[in-house]
Amino acid sequence: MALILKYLWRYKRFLLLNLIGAFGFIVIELGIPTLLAQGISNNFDGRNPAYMTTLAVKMLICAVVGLILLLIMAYAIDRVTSLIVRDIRNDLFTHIQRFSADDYERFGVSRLITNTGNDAYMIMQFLTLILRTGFIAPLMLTSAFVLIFRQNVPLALISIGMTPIIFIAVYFINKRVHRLSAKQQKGLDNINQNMRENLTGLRVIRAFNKESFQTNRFAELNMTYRHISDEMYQKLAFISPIFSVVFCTILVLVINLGSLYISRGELSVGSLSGFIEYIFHALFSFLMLGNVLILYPRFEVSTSRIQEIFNTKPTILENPDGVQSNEHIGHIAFDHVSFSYGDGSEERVLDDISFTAEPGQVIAFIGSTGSGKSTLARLIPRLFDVSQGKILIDGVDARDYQLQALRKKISYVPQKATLFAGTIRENLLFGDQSATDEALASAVEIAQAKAFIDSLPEQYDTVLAEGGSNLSGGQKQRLCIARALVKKAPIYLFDDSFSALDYKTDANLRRRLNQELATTTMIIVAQRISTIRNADKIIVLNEGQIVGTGTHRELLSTNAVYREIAKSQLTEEELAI
Amino acid sequence: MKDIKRLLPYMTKYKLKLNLSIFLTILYTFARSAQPFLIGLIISELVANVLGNTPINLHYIMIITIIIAVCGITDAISDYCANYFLIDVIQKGMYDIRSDIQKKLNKLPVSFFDTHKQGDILGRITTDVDVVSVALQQGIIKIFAAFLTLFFSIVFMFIRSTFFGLLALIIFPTVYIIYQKLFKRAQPKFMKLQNELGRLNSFTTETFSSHDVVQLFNQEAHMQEKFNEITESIQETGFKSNFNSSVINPLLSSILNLAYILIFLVMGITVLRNPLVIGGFVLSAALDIGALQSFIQYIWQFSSPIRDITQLSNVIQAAIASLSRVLELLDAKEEKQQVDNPDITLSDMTGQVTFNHVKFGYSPDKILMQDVNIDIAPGSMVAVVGPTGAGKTTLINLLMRFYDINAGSICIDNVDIKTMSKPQERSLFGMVLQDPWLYAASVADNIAFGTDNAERAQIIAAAKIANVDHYIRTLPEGYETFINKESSNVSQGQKQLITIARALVGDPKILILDEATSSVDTRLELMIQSAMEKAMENRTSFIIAHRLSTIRNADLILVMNQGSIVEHGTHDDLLLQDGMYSSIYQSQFDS
Repeated sequence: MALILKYLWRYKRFLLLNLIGAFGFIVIELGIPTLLAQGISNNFDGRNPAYMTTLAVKMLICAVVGLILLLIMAYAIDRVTSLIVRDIRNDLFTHIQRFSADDYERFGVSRLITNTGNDAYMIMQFLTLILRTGFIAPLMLTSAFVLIFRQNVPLALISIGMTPIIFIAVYFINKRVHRLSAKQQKGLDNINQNMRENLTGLRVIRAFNKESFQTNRFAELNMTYRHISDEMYQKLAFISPIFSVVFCTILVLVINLGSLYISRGELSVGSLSGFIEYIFHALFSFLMLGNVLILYPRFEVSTSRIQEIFNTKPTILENPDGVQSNEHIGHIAFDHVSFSYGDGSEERVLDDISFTAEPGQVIAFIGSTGSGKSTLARLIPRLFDVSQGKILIDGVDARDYQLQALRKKISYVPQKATLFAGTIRENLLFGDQSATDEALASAVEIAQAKAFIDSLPEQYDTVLAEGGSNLSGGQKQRLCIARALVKKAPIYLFDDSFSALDYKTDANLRRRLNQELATTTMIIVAQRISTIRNADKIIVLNEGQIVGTGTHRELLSTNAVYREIAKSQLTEEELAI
Repeated sequence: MKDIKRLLPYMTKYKLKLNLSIFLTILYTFARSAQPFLIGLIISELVANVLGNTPINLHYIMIITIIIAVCGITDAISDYCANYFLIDVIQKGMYDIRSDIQKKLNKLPVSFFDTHKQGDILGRITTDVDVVSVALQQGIIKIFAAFLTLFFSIVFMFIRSTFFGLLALIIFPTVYIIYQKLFKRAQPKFMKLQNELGRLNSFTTETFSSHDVVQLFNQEAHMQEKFNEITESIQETGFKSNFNSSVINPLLSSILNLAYILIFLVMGITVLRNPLVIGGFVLSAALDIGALQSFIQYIWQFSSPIRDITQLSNVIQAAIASLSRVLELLDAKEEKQQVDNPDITLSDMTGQVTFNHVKFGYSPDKILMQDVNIDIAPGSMVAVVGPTGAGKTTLINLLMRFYDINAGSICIDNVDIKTMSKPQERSLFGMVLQDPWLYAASVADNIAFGTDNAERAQIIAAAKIANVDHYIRTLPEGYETFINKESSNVSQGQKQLITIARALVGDPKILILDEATSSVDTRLELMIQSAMEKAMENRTSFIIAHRLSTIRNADLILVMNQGSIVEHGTHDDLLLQDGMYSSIYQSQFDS
């Protein structure tokens, strides 16, 4: 809540407008009935047209002023909520972008998306309601109660005494419904999940003759859902009758008592008629308030989730006094590097790793999943920080650089080909926004992507769908490589980046890379032996430790782990070469 | 409209409750609409008493308030009961629709699912059904009640005074039309807002899931700029769409207010003095302040049913569109159901498979297989090879009878599979697909899925052959470990092993295996390989192979291209033929 107040305070002038606007509601809803009551009380002043016209003009003024005020209120609320949500989203995005891989892992991408998307939207919706009802309802209640008390105190006490019943009833019913609705949503998720399962598993279900089995499973979920829905809607159905009963009771009491007062000359007929109007409005604002407040828990959840993001400091902190730039050479040295996730108490993913890489060298890492090879690559640009030891890049500890400066030295090709919605050109420019068309063309040629880009009708202006889903896996991978080449850095990191290429393209690509990147440092992480067999140095990782270093041939004859991997991938003829 | 009629059977099945609910709705809207009328009577009486200087007729007032109380209680009870019965009818109806859909899915031919986008089918059976259900639950009764309220209100006004009745007849449609116009104007803005929110979500999805790339290319500022652009545009659209709909209510009530004031003025000056007589017909009695009071209350109350009708008619329009999509699915042509062939004993079958002059195409004008003849001895291992997109799954489709061939026959132990029922034929097979599908249940349940009534011992035996028994025992709850919805608590490779166990648990005569190409852990890959080898022992097996060693060990290699079997023979035979197989083999080996 404090978070939202902070944002609201930024736009306090809109809040002031809102408050002024709220009076518009009072002017209309209470002003007009009051004038009418006056007319009735005075029996239209013995058919005096002038008196009637005055009343009508007053009513008209009420209506027009009220309308203007209400429009101002609508403007203020809709403006302030959309501005606040924009600010929250922008600030969130800025904050999230500073997160490191660890933080992303901890929160999960889908949660972060929900934070900037739905949670922010939820806040907007709640604010819209609460700024309206939250301002109007109390004003309305107070004004109505004042008017009611002015008419007749005993009547006022009766009606005011009974109104909280509505508020309490609505609140509790809604609370119950709220819980049921969460259960109902879950039931619906289960049903939909089961339906999805039936589609994705279609062939398996048919193959094993499990159609009726699935039908029975579904029937169960379906029945549960029906019962919860029944219960929820039945609870919800109580609200309207309760409102009717309370209103009706008040009405009967007030009219009978009121008539008694009238007969004693203590109340005018107009007052009674006005009174009935006021009660209706007061009750109605209770109902509205009860309905809005019930949304509060959901709003609270959304805000606290967003607050949690703001409260999280990124794990990788920039060294503000760090090196901004030094000579780009491409020298890498791992000095007794160990790494474990979290606070370092968990099992080590990397254990005492030391090696060096020089410009012009191709260093390859191989090992089974969980051997730590991808993690190792990701330590170099500080996607994670080492737990022990240090990594020197061109003689300086990676942590002593400013992040931008460090990352400028490294060109990275990710394991999963990640492209962005937009044109091919925009994606390539990601490597360097100032790159010329010639630079792009040359990168594309090296990455073996020229032929397929040329074959596209729009070539470089071809629009990629989200995640590049309109390209094949191999095409995406080649674009990722081209993007990295556009960056022209002294160090290249290839994180298992050749897996989707066919043999011929793979071979051509590696030949061209070796030519073009002859003076850079290349780090290659691979699953397939064929990708790395020509590397200058192959480092074999097993359970986070280096278990062998050497060339393909050396390792084949001396290293058991390497031989086991090779055996599973190569034919005997190939092993013999 | 025709579609709505199709929905009726689901509701009329519970006719009694439905009729009861309709009756009670009429009752409560009547009782509710009577209230302003009754209050008006009281006010009239009071005014008459006061003006006439007669004592207040407390007795009359008491009687009327008793009627008000009775109306209130009737309103409350019948409102609740009407809803109670209706909820029951609708929820039961939706239950029936959902089961019908589920059963329908089981009866549609596989080709239906292959020719329709999965997202589209999924949309029909989930979102569309929900939309219909919510519209029924929250829309129908409200609209019905809103119309009734309007109707009864007008009736009561006519009873009180013809003049007021006529006025109401003019005011309501006018207000309704204006409201509808305003509402329609706000709609496209909302659509635009929805689109932009979608854009926002896909942008964050992309950026957050590629955070490493963004950071390593130092593109944070670039991304922030793009993001701010989107949020700014949402800010503007969001404001516009909200403002457009926020002004509807004030404008609507202003129109009603103007009507109110105008009538007040006209009444006050003319009617209250003399009866309003037009053409000798008394439209309104003189000095009828009570009528004025009830008229004003009716006008007050009108805005809510009018709002309901407009808003809900949009909900209902969307629901009708959804309903027709659901019905389209329910109307799709079903597969023919075949009875079991009584002449065969499944347990005696050996697993010999023959293709005799098989002709097949997914559509009759595009025949893929012209005349395929193959003979596969029981217990042999058949490797299926070919470039990507060669139609290797076509073979699975035909063997499992997901599709039927156009001409010729496929026989198992010389019995044409067309003469068996599908369940009969399929129970001869075990199948392991590349995408390891598991359902949300325990590991044991998932393995038991492979056959009927599998016992624990059978499950464990199958898991042992599949090299997964040991792994399962290391899971926190062993065989009872629940595989979650996304089956993310079990690795891809382990899932593969579990699906192998599932295929084996029924001890099938014939096995279909699809070798995974995805890069799993080297050690797991070896385990999967050895599990597959063990699984194929003593069974006729078809393996869609990627691994040279598998292919070379096969008793028979089927080379597929463009949906058909273009070559078959052993490794050595095929190399000698120097055709497609030998070129595939060479290109892989060249690297």
